[in-house]
Amino acid sequence: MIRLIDIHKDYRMGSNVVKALNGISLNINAQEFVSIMGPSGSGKSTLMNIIGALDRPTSGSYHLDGEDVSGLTDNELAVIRNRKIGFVFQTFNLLPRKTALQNVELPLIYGGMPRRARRQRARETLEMVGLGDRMDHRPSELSGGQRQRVAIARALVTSPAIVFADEPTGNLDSQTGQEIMDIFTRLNRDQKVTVLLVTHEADIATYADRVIHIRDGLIFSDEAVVSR
Amino acid sequence: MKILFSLSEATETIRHNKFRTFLTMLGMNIGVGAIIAIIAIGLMARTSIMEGVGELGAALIIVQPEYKSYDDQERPLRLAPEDGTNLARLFPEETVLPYLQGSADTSARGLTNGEQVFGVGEDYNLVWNRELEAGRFFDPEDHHLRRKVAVIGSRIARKYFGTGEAVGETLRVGAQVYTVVGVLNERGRETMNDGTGDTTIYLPLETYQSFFNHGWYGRPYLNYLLIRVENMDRINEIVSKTEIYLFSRYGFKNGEPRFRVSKSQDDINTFNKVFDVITLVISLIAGLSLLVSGMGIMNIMLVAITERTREIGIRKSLGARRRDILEQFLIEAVIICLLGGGIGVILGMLVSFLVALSQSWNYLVPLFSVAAGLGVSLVIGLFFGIYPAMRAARMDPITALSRD
Repeated sequence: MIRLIDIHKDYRMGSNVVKALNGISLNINAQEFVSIMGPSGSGKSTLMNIIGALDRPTSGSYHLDGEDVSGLTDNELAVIRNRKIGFVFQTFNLLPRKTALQNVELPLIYGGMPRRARRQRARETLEMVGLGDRMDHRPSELSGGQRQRVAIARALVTSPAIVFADEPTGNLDSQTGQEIMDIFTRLNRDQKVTVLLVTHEADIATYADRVIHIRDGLIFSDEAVVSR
Repeated sequence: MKILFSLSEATETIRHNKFRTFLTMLGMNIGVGAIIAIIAIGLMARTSIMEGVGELGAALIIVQPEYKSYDDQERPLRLAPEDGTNLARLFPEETVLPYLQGSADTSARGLTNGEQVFGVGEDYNLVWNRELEAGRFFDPEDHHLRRKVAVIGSRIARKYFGTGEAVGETLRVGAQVYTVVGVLNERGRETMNDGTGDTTIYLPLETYQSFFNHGWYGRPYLNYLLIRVENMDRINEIVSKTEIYLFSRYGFKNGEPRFRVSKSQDDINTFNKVFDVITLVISLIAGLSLLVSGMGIMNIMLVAITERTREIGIRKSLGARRRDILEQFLIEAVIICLLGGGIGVILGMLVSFLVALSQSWNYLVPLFSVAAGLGVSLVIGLFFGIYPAMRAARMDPITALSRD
């Protein structure tokens, strides 16, 4: 599903070159549930941005769902994000003036799906995350957990190859955090969705089948999680 | 389909920022409103002048001294009464109407005041068709017998005779006493005017010649004369024949004609010239106001993009391409401009309606001016909206997302 080969990423800060990633190679298969951990400055975010098709590597190659993504233009990357990736952010990143339903519809609009079909699809997805009765609420009228569920529905609505969750429980209390993690687990188990989770909380990371540690721009460890 | 989406996004944002949008549009309102108003007012004024010419059912030619040909100290040569008869003989199908004009102390029933007095030719009411409130206009005998009779404007009648009957009463004008034979109706707004009005005392030309002195001229004279031309096609021919007659009789002064022959259409030309200047000035101001408001719109769009950087990041992460973002912000700018222009159109129509009302003109707003107003708004929206929209479209999703 995801295949990274010798990914380097350099940032130029004035005359200095900062090496954020120093040659990362990584395979993630379909239907896997993988956590990525690492302290800040480890290159974790940079890796996330590259895997999420928000950024391009300086060198190395990146195949997503069989497609070489490393050399694509901005617009091509936008299409990849739209079709193959679903993002769930720590801060939810919902559009505040739109209802839950409109937020979930948004990726389908950019994907060019006709109105009737996308309404239907967005409704179904919201129902799937248990928000069938909150579709016309704006984010400000929803609790943190509900907001994150809207965000999950928005990530799932395009049936992406991979769902990306960047500290999805970071802004939630532990009870709600657990509920959210249960959703991810269920999605992975029942709907065969590939999930890539970024977190700095060890116990959250262990919801996954596999945990990858990043340090100094390199993979420090990559091990399967012994069953919980 | 995406356009529809962008449209709804833009209207949503505008609804959310009503006051800011209103302030941003003000310049557009004024600019477009001024353009619509000036075009409409120009059209209405021109139409009303044309109708004035049409009302009379004929064209008028006026012959008067050309003051420009004389030095400041010189007294211009006047037309002679024979000029009237000569021209009448020259143009048998037209009506030639001589005028004398002056002012005199007037009194009746113990009231004395200075009034405007006109001596007018026999055909006065053939040319002007003035309506009478009471009595009659002069008949040929009044002229030939130099009768001491007067026709007075409605306000003279009110002033000296109150609400009572003025016909049959006497009025002292200058050194003589005249009998009032007619009172004219109050005159409305007129586009074509001979200088007389509701405060004029009319005397038969011949009577005027007898009892008013010839001033410094030493011989009978005319202040000016009018030629009413029935067939508009002949007007230029009559103008040039009149000019030739005057040249051959009076020659030139300092190489310039002594008399000026102008036609009623010249009024329209003069009006057009003056109005073109006014139009130009107002258009310049309107253009400037549009330019400034365009920059205001650009500014507000740049602010909006900074405020909504995170939103742009979110949209990009969900798969919005550059074009999608560009479209969204460009359409927002265009809608603000079209809204501003639309309100401007309504304002302009309102202003011209009020002007039309106050001038009792027929209300006209040319469709092309409305189209032009909206077209200009559209162009401004596109022109000043493209740069902010491009900046939004080019934003890096990662930086945009990390912005608060």
